[in-house]
Order: sequence, then C-alpha cells, then structure tokens
Amino acid sequence: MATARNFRLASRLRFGIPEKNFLLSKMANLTEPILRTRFTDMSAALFSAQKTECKDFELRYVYCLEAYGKSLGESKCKDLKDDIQECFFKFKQLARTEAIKNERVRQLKSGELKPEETYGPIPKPDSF
Amino acid sequence: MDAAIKQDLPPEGGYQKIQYARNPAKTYFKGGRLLAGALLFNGFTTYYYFNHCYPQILHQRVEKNGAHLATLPLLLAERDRAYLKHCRALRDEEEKIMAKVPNWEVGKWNGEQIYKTLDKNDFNDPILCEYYIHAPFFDFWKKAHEAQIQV
Repeated sequence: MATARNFRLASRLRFGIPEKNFLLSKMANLTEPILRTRFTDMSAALFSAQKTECKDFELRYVYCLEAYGKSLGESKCKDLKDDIQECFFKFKQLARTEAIKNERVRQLKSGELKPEETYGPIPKPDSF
Repeated sequence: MDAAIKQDLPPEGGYQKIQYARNPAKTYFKGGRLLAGALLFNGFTTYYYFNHCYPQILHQRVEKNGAHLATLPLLLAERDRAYLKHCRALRDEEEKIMAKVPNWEVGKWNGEQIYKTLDKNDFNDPILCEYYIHAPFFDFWKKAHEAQIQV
C-alpha cells in the first residue's frame, strides 16, 4: 500500500502536479530510517548514489539537509531535491522528447513537413 | 557334355592350418626407453617453443598494444566530435520544429530549466531517447539492445 502511494506521488511529481493532501504530501520524504541501531551507519554506504552519475547532486542535497535539518530543509533544499530526482528519473527530459516527437508527427500529418524530411539529423553509430 | 566337370575342390596342398596361437603387435620400444624418448621429445619441443616461438608471439603482442595505444586518442577524438556535432544539430532541429508551438523555449521544460541548480550555460548530456529523437526507431532500438545483439 505504501509503495502504491509512493508510486502515485512520484507519478504526480513527474507531471508537475503538487499533492494537496497534507498527510500524503509528507509521505515520500523519508530521509533516514526509523530505528537507529549500531548497524544503520554501516549499511548506509550501500544505498548511496556516489557511484552513479548523480553523485554531485546527491552530495549537495545531503549537505543542504544537514545544514538546515529536515523540516526547514524541505523548503530550502527543494531545488536540489528536484534536481536529484530529475537526475535519477529524467522525467523532464523524457517529457521533452515526447513533446518533440509528437510535434514532428503532427507536422508530418498536417503537411507542414515534407515526406523527404521525416527524419532529422541521424547520429553516427557508436558516437553516444 | 564333353567338358570336364568343375568341382569346388580345396586348393593344391590343402588348406593352411588354423592359427589359434596369440599374435600380439610388434613392440619397438618398451618401458624405460619409451619413457625416456617421451621426456626427451617433450624437452626439445618446450625448449624450441619457449626460446624461439614465444618471443615472436610477445613481439606481436607488443606491436598490437602499441598500435591500439597510438590510435586510441584519434578514435576518441572522432567520437567526441561526432557526439558534440550531433548535440548541436539536435538543438538546431528542436528550434526549427518547435517554432510553432507556443511557450516553448529550447532546452527548457514548462518554462524552467531541466537542472535548476546548475548554471544556465552548463552542458547537459542528452539521454539515449533524446539522442535518437529524429532518427528512425530501428537505430535507437539497436543501440539500446547492443549488449544483447553482439555480433
């Protein structure tokens, strides 16, 4: 149930819809585990993004959270949190690609683009 | 019937005797000589291989690695140039196509930058989908599955 709620929250965030329910809006903001034992810090390094491409985003966000705390950090570190989410899920970039593709299809169908121009610049095979 | 009757008789002198005694194969070397011969042969071949053939293999390997190291910067430079050229072409194409869409700024989404905390002029690497937007779907599919295709 919690995972379904989190998925719904993430999907709404993905399309830029803010959650209006007070309790649900606090749901997906877990930054540390509930119980602190002697093993929580030992296992912290397993769940970090420091070996992915989002390491700088994560560091900045975590430093900001440490400086401001959890409740104040929600408002002060919002941009950083959005950036790290964008880095992980890339929803803005995907939405952009979808929009561009749809626009291209629309232009082809309406006739603004000629059939010779169906494809734009094609990348070379191993250049990515 | 004037011709002589042909009968199926045994050959002259009769048949040979049936051989029932053992007839083992002829042995040229036995026991110690065989072992000594094998060891000598192996010794000579190892000497020949390690002192004559293997240095040639090493020399070829050195040459191959040298060639790889020498051509690697050139290949990387070519790849990077093609990558950046294509990124620029993507931006230009996006500008051309989305000119008719209202409220569209090139490189942004919903009026805000993709990464808000980064500088406006920082380069943002495209993702795979973005890289192949204007190309046929097959190119994208092939690149996405290149780990499985592996010719």
